[in-house]
Amino acid sequence: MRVRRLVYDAVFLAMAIALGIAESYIPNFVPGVKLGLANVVVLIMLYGFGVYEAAFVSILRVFVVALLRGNIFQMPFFMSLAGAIASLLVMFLAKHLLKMLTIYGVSLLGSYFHCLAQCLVAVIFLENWAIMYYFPFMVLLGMATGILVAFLSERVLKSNILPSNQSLGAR
Amino acid sequence: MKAFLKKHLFDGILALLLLCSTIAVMLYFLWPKDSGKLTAKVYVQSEMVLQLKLDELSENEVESYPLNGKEGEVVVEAKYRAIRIASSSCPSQYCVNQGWVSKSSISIVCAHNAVSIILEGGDSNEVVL
Repeated sequence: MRVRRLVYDAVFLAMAIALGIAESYIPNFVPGVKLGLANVVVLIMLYGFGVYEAAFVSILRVFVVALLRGNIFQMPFFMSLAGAIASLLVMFLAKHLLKMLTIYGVSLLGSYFHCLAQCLVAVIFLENWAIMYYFPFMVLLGMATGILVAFLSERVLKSNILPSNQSLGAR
Repeated sequence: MKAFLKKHLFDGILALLLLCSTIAVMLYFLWPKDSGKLTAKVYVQSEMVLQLKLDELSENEVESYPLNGKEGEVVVEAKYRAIRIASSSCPSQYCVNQGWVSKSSISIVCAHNAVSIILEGGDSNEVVL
């Protein structure tokens, strides 16, 4: 059972990495704003399996994509890592504490705090606040992509193609 | 439709709250803070390497300032009441594509080279969005 869970985690991690690499080839018009397709996998893991699986995919994905792009332990890596951790933490808390929100609200919060964490890390690296000029534009586009991510995640979760948490056994 | 709105009511309220906070941040950073001469301050990380009074530059000439950024060379160009990053060694080129800026409170940032340009002053009372 644990092997089955591990296999599912690995497959979803691979999907998140592939999506993360693929979307880097899509041109973006505002610095730092991507479609965030890899977050579809993170949201599916959070709702379909649990926070540990979502964290596994989210954080490892950042490391592997940075290794593949050759910018590990540089500013873009730390921005991605901070964004991934902040958004996952906020989404987990929102899912459990703000039960009146649907997956769309949770995703919106995740994308907002993802942008905020990235900007704050950039402020630390650049040692000035000039990058915050881009924050509103990042958030506006980020919220739109957050809705798209939630839409795609909801479709996958409703399609019943995922195994239940119980069938995968204990961690 | 009613059921959809009822289901997503709190999502909509959250989206509005986030939008309002974003607009507040936008206004804080873009609101003209002072009048006086339009000045561009160029930083490499936290160190100010260049301060230009753009009102005092020639209207017909463009002045170039090559800088040593964190990862490579960045060339800043300035003319009367406008400034831009003309070239940069960064891979994304967002800073170069931003072009000439001439409004107070606007920034150009080359994150790869840690070069930031902040405009202050000027006589404009409008908020630039």
